[in-house]
Amino acid sequence: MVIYAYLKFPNLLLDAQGVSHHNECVAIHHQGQIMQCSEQALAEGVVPGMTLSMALTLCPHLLTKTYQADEERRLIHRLALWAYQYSHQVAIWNKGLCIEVSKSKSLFGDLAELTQTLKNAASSQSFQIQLAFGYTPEMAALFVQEGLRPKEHAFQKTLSRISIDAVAIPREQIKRLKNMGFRTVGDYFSAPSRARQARIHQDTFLYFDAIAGRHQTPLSWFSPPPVFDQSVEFLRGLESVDMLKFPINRLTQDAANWLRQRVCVTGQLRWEITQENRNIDVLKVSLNHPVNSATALSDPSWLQLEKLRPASPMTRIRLTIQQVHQASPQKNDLFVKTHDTDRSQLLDRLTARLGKKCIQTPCRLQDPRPEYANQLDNNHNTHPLPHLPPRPLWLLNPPESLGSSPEKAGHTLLQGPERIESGWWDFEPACRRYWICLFQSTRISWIYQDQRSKSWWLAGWFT
Amino acid sequence: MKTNLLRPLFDAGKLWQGNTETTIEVTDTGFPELNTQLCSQGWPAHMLIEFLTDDVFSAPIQCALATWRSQHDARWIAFVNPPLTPCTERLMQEGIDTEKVDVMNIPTDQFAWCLEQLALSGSTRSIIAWEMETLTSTQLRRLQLACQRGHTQLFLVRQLTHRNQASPAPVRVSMQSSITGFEITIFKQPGTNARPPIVVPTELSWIQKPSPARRTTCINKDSSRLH
Repeated sequence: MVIYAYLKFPNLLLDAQGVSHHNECVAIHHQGQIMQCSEQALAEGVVPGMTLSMALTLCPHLLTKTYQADEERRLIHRLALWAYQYSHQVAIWNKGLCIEVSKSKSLFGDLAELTQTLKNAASSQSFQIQLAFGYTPEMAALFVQEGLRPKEHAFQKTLSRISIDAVAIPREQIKRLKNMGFRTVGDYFSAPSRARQARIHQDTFLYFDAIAGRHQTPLSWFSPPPVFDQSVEFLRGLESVDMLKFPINRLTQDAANWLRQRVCVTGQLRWEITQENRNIDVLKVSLNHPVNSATALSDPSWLQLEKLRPASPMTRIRLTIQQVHQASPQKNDLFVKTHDTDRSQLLDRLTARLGKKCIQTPCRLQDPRPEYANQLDNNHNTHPLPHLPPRPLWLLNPPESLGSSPEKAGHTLLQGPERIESGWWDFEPACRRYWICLFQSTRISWIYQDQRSKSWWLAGWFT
Repeated sequence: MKTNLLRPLFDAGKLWQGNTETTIEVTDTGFPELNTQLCSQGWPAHMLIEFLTDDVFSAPIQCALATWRSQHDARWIAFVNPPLTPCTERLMQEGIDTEKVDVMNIPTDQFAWCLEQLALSGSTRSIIAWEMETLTSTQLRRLQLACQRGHTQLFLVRQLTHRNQASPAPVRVSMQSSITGFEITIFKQPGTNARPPIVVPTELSWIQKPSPARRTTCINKDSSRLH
């Protein structure tokens, strides 16, 4: 039989506001009424449903935030994305998540193990969950409401013991059922079905069938969005860029999950940092190689973002990923290490911190002139080496003038000349004679004489 | 009991006793006379090796090139803050695949971080780096650990004045160049004591070959005419 898990997030509204509510008296209010409050506020006597003025009277230092439906919706979608890694059937239902878990049991173990996995994952993401299982979402939600988590074989027995007051139907319907003599859900189901159907409202009848697992409510299943767009807001503006590290890690972790769920990789990240003075810093991070791991996304991002010098405290950070590519499985040899992955991550880190020009690759162009043939460039292909006389280890670019006599500069000619006459096509003609020289009896140099000006130049060093 | 506890460290080459054979992974130096001076017959393959010299142009790069020629590792090599531009054609003449060479010029304040990233990445087999500003003992220790973790060999070229200062580098070598070669003194290495200096000759036969264009005489004639 199909089993559903219902996940309720007791601090959903507080989390949606990005409020750090663990050590503060915070409350979310809507239309003058408290909707949710932190544990500290509860300890001070503030309770949901209370008027805002009453709450402020009881707790003068209460920090209040207005309820924002958009933020709540955004967070529940983020949580759905998180839950998507545990099942391909996740639905946003009744301000919580409904997950079809019967098919996940083979991967994550029995319901107890799955519970532990979900709780550990939730605590690592710093949010609280309450969960229970049932044959229908309504049954699971009723168990969550009552704080019960029965095993699969005890679903019906536990259900039958639940008080009729606990079911989620209008108060007048509950009163009517109680007048009929039903005290528990078990009492209700012990009565003949036809008699119940004739006496109670159809919606109530269907709801009871649903909590008993006899009626399935159609669910609209969640699917990962085509574009990743998430943000984290800060109740109190962040003064230091260092404080962004944790939000960056959280966002890149979510982005990595999203990419993996879509079997995609990305090479482009767009970060937006909003400041209190409403300035928005936009930073585009380009990766050398498309990736989908959290570390490969967060490291280059952090190295670029740490260079920011915001003029005023930062209130929001947002990550957008629009360009994705289909991930292809790595063709790894069993005995070969994955150097390419290490290499691309290294390049991402270095270029993020030092700029794109920090790493250069030597390449040889097809030009007889040494200064044109020997390049440091990442964009050219190396041409094969023809048979050439020995070349020096080091090149001087530009060459150093030796005046009209190499001997006067300490260079004694040893071997040569090697004639190079080229460059007539690009208006920088070279007509030179290269010599290998002994410099002050200690080093071997490479010098040339320009045949037009007859001046001598130091081109490089052998040792 | 103590020996058993330390055995994994000995086996991994992270700890050694004086005058004992260590089993660390090494790479051929390319010079037989230098190999005999080194414990396990070569440079440690995954360690920080200090070259202390006043000649930053010649001896260190010749040692590195000779080592790279003998390595059979498909990973990259890196020049960090070379004193001049390395000549691509010469590297090709040395048999080095220039498509797997990185040349990096790093600001002084990022030098240690950059070396650590290179050593840690696992994609670089060997690095030769010219120290621009004196690295602290902590930075050197971090580089040594990064080399071990990333299986990278790092030749760090430092000024000879650092010889009298302690360093966490497992191999420390001082070098002095001459026209015929360079004198190497290995004064710290794993598993053995300091060794007497040896002279590694520079391969200059290609210069000494008689050639039609050899100009001891012609030079004088040419120069007398020119100047």
